[in-house]
Amino acid sequence: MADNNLSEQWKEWFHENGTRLLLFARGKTNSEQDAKDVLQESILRLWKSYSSKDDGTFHPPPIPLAFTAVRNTAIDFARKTGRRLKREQNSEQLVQDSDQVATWFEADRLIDKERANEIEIALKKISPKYREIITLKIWGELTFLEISKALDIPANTAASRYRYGLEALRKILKPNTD
Amino acid sequence: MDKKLKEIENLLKEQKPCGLDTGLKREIELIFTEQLSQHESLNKQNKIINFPLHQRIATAAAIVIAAIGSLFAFLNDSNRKDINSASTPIIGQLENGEADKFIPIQTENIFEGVVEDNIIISEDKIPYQAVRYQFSDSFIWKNKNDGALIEMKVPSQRLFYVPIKTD
Repeated sequence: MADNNLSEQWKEWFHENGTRLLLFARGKTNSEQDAKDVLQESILRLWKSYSSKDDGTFHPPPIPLAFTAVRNTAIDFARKTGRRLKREQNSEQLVQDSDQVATWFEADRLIDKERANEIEIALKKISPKYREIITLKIWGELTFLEISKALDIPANTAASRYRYGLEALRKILKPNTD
Repeated sequence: MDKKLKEIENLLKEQKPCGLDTGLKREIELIFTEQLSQHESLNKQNKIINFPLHQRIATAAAIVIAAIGSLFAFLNDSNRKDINSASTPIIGQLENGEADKFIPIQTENIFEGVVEDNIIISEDKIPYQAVRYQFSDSFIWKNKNDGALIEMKVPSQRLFYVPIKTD
């Protein structure tokens, strides 16, 4: 019975945070499939760490910690798949992967889809340092203090990277507004 | 914050991340449900070292082999003691059997002839004539007890280099 409650708590937590965690994972990986793998692996790691009754921790982790887990898993994943990616760099496999990338943002109307696509492309163009801060701030809804803890950087650095990131996005999305 | 940046921020906030597809959602939910019991059992498995049947059999076999080895080592040791005790008289016989010893009574070195060999030139450009002196060495042993004789002849030769005068 207690196990079911625990399971339900985690499901609820995942329904609430899954999309933003996946978006963060997308920013950390090269393909949609890699992002899904990273998300799955990081959730498994969190589950193993946080569901242990021996530790007395039954509840899902705080969201900043989940982002940290995704980030660390993505780093491990990149190390593991680095050689494979180099090997496949010139093969069709990579082309197929890039073709299969799903859109990052929801959009119903055609105009919204275009805008969402532009933002996605712009986010991919900017530095990963800025991208991760913007993702955590906008869609992760974390404070700069939480971001600084999640990424192990000073809060001021997080804030300045956020501003630089927005500036970089503005140059891509609205180049004529200078 | 700059007004232009605020606009970008608002633009970003309008975007909602795409939902998870059902396949991925199901896979991840499996972690929380089916793997719940597995996870706990895995934890236990990590802590408890099983001692399966084949390991027990292997241990028993090792003990049996060690026991047989010890038995043969013991038997071998006791057997060696028997050999020692049995061999003592043999050693004694050898020691007491000085009468069987053969004593050398004659040695001869017989000159048989000289044979000229090749001419060689040394590094100093001096020619040498090789001369072989051939001998026959003979040895005779006698047993004091029964008068038996052992005779052996060994051919031998000595090689000399004699410088050749070229003046």
